[in-house]
Amino acid sequence: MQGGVYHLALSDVDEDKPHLHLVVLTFSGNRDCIVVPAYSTDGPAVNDFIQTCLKSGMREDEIYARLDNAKYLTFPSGFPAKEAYWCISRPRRVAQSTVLSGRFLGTMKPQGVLQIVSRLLASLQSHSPSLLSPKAVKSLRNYAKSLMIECGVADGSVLPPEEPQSHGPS
Amino acid sequence: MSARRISQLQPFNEFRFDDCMAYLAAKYNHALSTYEMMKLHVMIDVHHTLNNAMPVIGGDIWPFVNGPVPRGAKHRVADWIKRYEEAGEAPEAFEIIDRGDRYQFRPKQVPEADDFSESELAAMELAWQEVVPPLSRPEGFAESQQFFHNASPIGEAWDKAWKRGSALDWNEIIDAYAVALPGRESHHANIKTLLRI
Repeated sequence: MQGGVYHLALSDVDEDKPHLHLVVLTFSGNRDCIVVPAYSTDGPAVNDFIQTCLKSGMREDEIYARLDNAKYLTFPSGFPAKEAYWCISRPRRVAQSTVLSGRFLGTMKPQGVLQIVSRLLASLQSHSPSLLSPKAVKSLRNYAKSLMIECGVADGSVLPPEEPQSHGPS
Repeated sequence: MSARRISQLQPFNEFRFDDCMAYLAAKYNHALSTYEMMKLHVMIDVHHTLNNAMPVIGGDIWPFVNGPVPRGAKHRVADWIKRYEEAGEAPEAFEIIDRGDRYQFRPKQVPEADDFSESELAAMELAWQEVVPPLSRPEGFAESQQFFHNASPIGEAWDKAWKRGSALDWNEIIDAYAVALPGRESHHANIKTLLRI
């Protein structure tokens, strides 16, 4: 399921119009997973969203990864392959059954997944407090490392430095 | 500009619901009632959304007589009770304590703090302090009912949804908190923009 791209409408704001979602992490036991949504670069809502994030001090590379989807995914015939903002600042944790209820569009090439996952990891490090659990961040990092090996990318050239994660004294 | 109503920010995640309830029940050594679980779910999602523009558990929240109730969680717990009453089956993650007048749920499997993000733990703690300790006071249930019907921003959002006869609207929830927490207007305006993605 990891690396899979699904066509899903997760929120009312999507007005029942599904968007692409990339599964970046699945949790063991067939339970839930983390997805990152994509929006066409010409969409007004996503551009308002980006402007709001920029005004709040975030950098563009902490907000989205811009990909030409046609380069990284073979779409079913008749499905438009567009340039998209993959909104790494909006990861969502949802039940795997929710994702599987959407239309499976294909598996993204590891080079594309790596761009999104590495940006997501960097974005998570810059967001305080963290939006994902330490266990999820660790698993994402391991996934990114496996993608780097698959893509022949040198260690340390893509991922942000590892930071100790702590919830402080309990 | 009048924003379109938003009743669901993401679908109900039953695993996160179980995790949050089990973690809090174990942390405070307190078996939870159905009422407590429903209100904890509401307030966990409210606090996390107010600060991060996304819920922890998800699903839509409806105006019931007893205040705001997340429909997905209500169905889940009702199913646990039905299976227990009809077949003596307990849910996977909880032991059911039958007190005669009501059921309580004690976790059998407890997630670790590392299973939650810092922002999730912060929202869970705020929700716990708002929901559970007040219920132990002599007039606790009546006070809780006031809180969830009109004496709080979430109560105001419940009231609007109740009169309208539809699910609570996240725009109205955030607006109510923006009025109650002056000085954070730009933060709340940003959150409403972030919700649209």
